Amino acid sequence: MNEILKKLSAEKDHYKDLFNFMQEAAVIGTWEFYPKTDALSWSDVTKKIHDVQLDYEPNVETAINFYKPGLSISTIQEKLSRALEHGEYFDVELEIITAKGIEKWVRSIGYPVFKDGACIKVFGLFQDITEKTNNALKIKIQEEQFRASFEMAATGMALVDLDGKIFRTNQALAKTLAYTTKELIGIFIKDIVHEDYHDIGNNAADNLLKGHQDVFQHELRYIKKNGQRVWCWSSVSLIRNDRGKPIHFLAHVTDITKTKTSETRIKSLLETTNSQNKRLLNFAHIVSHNLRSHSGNLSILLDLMAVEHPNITQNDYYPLLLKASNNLNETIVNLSEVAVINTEIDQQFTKVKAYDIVEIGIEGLSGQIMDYNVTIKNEINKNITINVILAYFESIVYNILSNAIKYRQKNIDPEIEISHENNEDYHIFHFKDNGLGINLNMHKHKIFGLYKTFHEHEDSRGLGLFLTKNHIEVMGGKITVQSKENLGSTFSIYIKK
Amino acid sequence: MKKLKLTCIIDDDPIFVFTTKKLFDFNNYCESILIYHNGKEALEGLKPIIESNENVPELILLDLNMPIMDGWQFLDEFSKLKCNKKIVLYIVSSSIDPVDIERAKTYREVSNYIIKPITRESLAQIIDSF
Repeated sequence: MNEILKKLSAEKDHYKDLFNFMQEAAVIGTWEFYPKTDALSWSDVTKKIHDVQLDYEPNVETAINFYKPGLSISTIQEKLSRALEHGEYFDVELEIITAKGIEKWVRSIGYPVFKDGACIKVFGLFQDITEKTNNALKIKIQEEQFRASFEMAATGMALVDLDGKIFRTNQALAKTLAYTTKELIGIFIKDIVHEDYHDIGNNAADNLLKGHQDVFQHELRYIKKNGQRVWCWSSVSLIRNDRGKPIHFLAHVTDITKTKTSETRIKSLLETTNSQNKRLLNFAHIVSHNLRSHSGNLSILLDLMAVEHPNITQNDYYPLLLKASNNLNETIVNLSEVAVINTEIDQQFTKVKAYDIVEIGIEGLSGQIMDYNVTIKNEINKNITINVILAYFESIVYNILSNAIKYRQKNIDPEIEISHENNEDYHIFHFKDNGLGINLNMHKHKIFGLYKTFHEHEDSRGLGLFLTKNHIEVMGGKITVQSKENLGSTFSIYIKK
Repeated sequence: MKKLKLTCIIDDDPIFVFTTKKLFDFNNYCESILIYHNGKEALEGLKPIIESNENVPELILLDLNMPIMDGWQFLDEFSKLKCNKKIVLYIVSSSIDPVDIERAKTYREVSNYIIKPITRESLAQIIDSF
């Protein structure tokens, strides 16, 4: 008998332990309240959740005061009084502030027990759900953030299930494809992608599912609701759950029709330019081979005719014919020069001292400098080194200096000043003269054009400036001009650093 | 300077041939002039002359751009002929294409490259070199 009692007692202890263990493990405490005596008792776990000592003795008032002021406290008060008065069961999630001042989310469950129409006891469960609630809140916030960034995104986005059906999408994608978002839901991806790209898409999905690839990116042609095609940059990734099982695809779709169109336009422009270059070479060939031989013949015929029949030179027509022939020759020589510049692309760049090249240019013009009493000040720092095609730079300097002398003012001794300045990208050389100047209002657009002449000068020709501009541009630089009539001109040459 | 016995002009342009002949005549540079209108004609004419080694021209003025056989093709064939006497050959072309000028330098037979029109001065220089 004793043994049986002992065994029962032992089992009872055993169940008690098990019960405590379960409470601890689930962080679920219990409580009991007897309205008649106002006695409240808490289990150990309940006490632990409140952060009080195990010998703490709660009463209804202190217990309620643990609830966070506001919604939590008013809710528990209401629930408890309804349980006591009407026998209503309650199950609420509320916030408490523990004895240590820590805020916790708790689930409080209460079962009222009635006897003879009066409540004799309320017993309940008390569970710490802080972590769970915080996680839920976090997820809720994340979900909200995702929703906002998904729906407001400037790029088209879609969540696509593993069968290839869209189940969520945004405004941007709907706009690109001229659908409404509602219409897109339930549509298969293959129905909005051009059939030429179905194989690529299927392969990509396969690779993503097999884990061969993390993300698939490609230019794809989509089909709008109205049947029009639209080029889009697509980026698709596979979303997996925490166990690595695929859940759905996330697709980003950006309309690149504009980029695509301008790309095509650039390509066709390039082709045009290439064919124009070829024609120019052809033109250079015609100039050098055909035109030159005819004009050369003409001038040699005139020359020999004068030797053989000297009296013919007395004819009024002869000097005019000779002049026309000479002009023709000169024009052809100049045209050939231009053609040659445009075909000699692989000229070598060398490092030279700008000061020295200008001095060489001045030396080359020494005859004219003496004849017209020209003063030239070369104020370039002697150490400035530039990287140029030497022949071009020499020709540029020579052309600008000789122009400055050629277009001098009558009765004023020509003065030319050459200076240098730096900016981030260029060496800038200024050639300032006190010559005739150019009416830029009238001539600005044609100043560097082929055969544009703006001075009534005996041997004026615009070719020099045209060549100069060409030379500078071939070296990646530029030329600008400032000028006032009868005051002079300043040509500024930009040489790339 | 000496007077040449025989000069050969290979050019399809009648005006060039006419004026060059005139220049030779005025200055009394040469006794006689041999004229061919393209490379093939010249090759067929010069081959027996060179092989017989008699009346070989001392100077050849060669145009590049000609029908049937151009100056380059002529040069390729001409360089295969064995000749005991010295023949001075000038290319006289209206081409100012640097590619042509460079190519001319690769032929041992070519003394110089003259850009048309040939003038009294440039011809005088050629004759002076003899």
